Amino acid sequence: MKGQIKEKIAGCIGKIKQADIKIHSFLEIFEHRAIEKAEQLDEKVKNGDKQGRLFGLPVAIKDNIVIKGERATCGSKILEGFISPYDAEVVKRLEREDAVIIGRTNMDEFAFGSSTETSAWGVTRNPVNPEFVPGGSSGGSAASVAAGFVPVALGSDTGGSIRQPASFCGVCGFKPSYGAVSRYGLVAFGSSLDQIGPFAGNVRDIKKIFEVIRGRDEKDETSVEFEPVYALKEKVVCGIPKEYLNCSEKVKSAVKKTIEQLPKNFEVVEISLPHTEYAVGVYYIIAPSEASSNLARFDGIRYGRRIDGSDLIDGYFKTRGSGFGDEVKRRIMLGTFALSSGYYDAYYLKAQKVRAVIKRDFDIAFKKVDLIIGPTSPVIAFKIGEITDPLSMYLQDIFTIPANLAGIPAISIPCGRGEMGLPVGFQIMAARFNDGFLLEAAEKIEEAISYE
Amino acid sequence: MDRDGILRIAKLARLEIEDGKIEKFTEEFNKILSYFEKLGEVNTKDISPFLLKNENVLREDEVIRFKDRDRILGNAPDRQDDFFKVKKVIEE
Amino acid sequence: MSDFIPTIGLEVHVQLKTKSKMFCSCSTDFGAAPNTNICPVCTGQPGVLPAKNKRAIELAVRAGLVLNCRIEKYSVFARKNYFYPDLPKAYQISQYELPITRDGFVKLSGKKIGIIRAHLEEDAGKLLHYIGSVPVDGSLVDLNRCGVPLLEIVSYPDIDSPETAFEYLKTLRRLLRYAEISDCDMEKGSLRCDCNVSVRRSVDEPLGVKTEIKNMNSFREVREAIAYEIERQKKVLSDGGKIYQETRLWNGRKGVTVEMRRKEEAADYRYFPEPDLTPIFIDEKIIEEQRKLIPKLPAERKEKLFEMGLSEYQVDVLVEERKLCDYFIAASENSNPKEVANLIITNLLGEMNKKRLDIEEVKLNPLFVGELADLKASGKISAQVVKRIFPQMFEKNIPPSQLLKNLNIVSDEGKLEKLVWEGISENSSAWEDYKMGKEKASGRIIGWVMKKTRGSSDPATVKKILERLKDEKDFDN
Ligand SMILES: [Mg+2]
Ligand SMILES: [Zn+2]
Repeated sequence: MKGQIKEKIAGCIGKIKQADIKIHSFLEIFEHRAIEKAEQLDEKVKNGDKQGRLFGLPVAIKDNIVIKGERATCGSKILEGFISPYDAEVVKRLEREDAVIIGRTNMDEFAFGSSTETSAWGVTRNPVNPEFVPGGSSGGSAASVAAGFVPVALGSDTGGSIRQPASFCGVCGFKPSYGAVSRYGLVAFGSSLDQIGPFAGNVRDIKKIFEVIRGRDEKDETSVEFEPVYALKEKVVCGIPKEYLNCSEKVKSAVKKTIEQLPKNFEVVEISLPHTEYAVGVYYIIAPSEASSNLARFDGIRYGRRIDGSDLIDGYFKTRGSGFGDEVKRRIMLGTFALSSGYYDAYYLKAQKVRAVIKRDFDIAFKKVDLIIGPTSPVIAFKIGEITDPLSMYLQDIFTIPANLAGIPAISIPCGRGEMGLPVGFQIMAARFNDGFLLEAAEKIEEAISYE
Repeated sequence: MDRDGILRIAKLARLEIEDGKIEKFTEEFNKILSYFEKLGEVNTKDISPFLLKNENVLREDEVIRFKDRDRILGNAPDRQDDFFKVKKVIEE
Repeated sequence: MSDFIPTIGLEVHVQLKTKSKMFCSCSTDFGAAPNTNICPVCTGQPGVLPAKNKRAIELAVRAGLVLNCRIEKYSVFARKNYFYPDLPKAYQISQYELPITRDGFVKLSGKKIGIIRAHLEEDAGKLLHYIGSVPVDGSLVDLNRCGVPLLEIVSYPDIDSPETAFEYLKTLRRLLRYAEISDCDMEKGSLRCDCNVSVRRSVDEPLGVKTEIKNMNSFREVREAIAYEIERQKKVLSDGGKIYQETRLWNGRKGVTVEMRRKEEAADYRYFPEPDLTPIFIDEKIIEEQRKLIPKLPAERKEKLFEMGLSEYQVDVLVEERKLCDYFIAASENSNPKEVANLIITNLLGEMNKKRLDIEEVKLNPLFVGELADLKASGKISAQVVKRIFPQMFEKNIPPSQLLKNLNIVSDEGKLEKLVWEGISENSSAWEDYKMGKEKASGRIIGWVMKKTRGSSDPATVKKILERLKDEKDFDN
């Protein structure tokens, strides 16, 4: 008898091979690795061995989370040829619980983008409608779940890179509290903002993955051990920030309808997060500053692309000039500028201070409310190639960025449809390390609402 | 920020920018910088910069040998024996 | 040439005595094969994160105490960004605005040298241009050293001569070695020193333009390089020339400093707080723990040794190394300290040198050295006997009394008397003089006996025999 897990995984891979041509959510399928793992799992079944919590679950991994012995490119030419010598902590935890890693998914180059159009390896299309973007930067992971290729995928979220594509593709996407999940093995973009998180078709699966990947890791000093409490209070107070209603009509109506359908013990009050309008500015200083430093290591000496120049220094310029795409260059330069002598105080330091003010807004709000709710994105998915102006693209992230700046958990769940049947996402945020409460509430909301 | 400013930043970041793109880069850069000016509206007097306060996180002083160094060396675009190789460093 | 006043500030990097690197668990062992002490973290692989070494933090606190610095309750790491092939992440994790310790001083014999700060950072890798003596058509990168914990100690420009710089370095090394913070071994790269040097015509003038000198391989070279640089700057200025702010390399073979790079544009390192690391919090408990681990320091020991009657030279030698000083103190506990100091400096250090041993490796019980010192001081044995038996004592850790027995060394009067008679007949005039009451004349006879027995007879016993024989003679008359 052919093993059940192997059959399931082979089926999963077959489906991707056949149907992902239109979507391009995967950059690579780890066929050999996945089948081998499936065979091991079938062996476990045969021997009656203990089975992990994610036994036989196929998982897709964003191309910026490294897996020992596998390629990882971050959607960039600069990492061509790189094979990771080590495993990301989340990969270890997934495999320890018998998940099967299926392949790596497409992304905006180095996670710089909100549409997965800046990948060096071509765009990913929205499975709901292939003429539209899947959002980004974890567009590949979102699309792989939305297309039904895999039940769960991992992404990373620095300013909304999990929640926005989840909202565009009509799936659930969760950014845990900063520190809840180890970043070891996540190729850094904005170190003080980055978090790894799961995509899934429903909140229950999100919980399942989160329980496996969360927790303190000695290799990441910013990771924290805490015990999530998956329980609700008798009355849950939800705040809707008035600043979060500045969005397209279709999005607004879907969100309003969702609010009307909230479970009975959910009370909604209007609140204010008065510094919301500064979040994008703060983010586009801090994230590129950290990124400019994080991406300096791609110099063609130890791994990845190398273009020799007339001398050593010239080689740096050629390697990095040809290896990085325009959006990456733009952000590296923004960050380099914001940190450079004479500008540091006016840009980087000022941004970190305004960030503290934004965090204070949340601290005050969470004294009054348990959750903050609203749209994930001011818009629904746009057409591929439609937005070319960088600043307009940056403004897409206005509602997702604040959670990263404050380090709080936030989830996007589908809550309706806009034009052409494109999904709308509903965002729920909670205080830092109230991840369990947030997920429990999201599950209740998911159950309560209906839309078509 | 003018063309020279952009080139100075590109030099600091060791990025070659194609001649034809410098103009566009400069324009976009300035648009973004002027957007940043908005932050000036926020009064940050007496505000300390953002910081996540973690307890003292320290590692014990123990040696753990990494067993896959060949995988690290295996990625080198240029190598001589067990060294990474680069073009001659001129200074020093 | 008119008079110039030099102003010198030193930046000293010392390697902290840890087993593992600053931010990863790789070994810090010196001399490993190229790229063997490496891992994803210290080679800057995509996705890695640093994790602070507790011991390095503790040693930095201890250093702060030894250097009379203020220990900061709160300090943070920062990234110093620049591209170089020996720097895999293209930034060095260092401390910038908030170092772990600052505002201290080191006391020299004549003055105090202020310490601006002592901060933690990681070392870079190493570039090689030759394999053996064969030049490479490029540069080779070895990352074994990359990430090794360093303490950068920055002095105020309080140093006014090459000699003071030399004394400062020696004092600093002694302090850090005493407290077991660093080996401070320049040959093994665990201490490096860069010097900032400028000159001006009078103290009323602002400081002159400074140059930074690097690449010195010993304290002596540091002294020479500074002396050279002062003279060079004086000459340039006297000739109406200009000093440029630049980095200069010391060429030890030629004994000159050579321009390396001129800082037209000051380097822009784009420092910012390291977001991957949590801040360091130091409380009283950590400080007290470290304070307890600091032994009595050289200055205090010196005083005590002088009180014991040792010469300045003896004190200097013994205080140089803590373990040696500890050895001396143990050996001299119940014995003549001056004689013990002599034995340690002449004989013990001699043997150690011959066998290339460190004081830690010496097996000889210090009490035996004390015993030997007393035998010598009381005149029971001669310097020659000491010289003869010390190597065996050293090697086998045997008490001198037992060795003297084994060697037949002699306080046995019966055995010696025959020899003394021989000596008298060979030196009859000295014997006559001695009998006439010239005490000194006995020396010639004693010397003869000693020579005859190649030092193995005890001069005090010989003297005693002579005295007896003289009296017996008188009695005969
Ligand atoms: Mg330094
Ligand atoms: Zn290492």
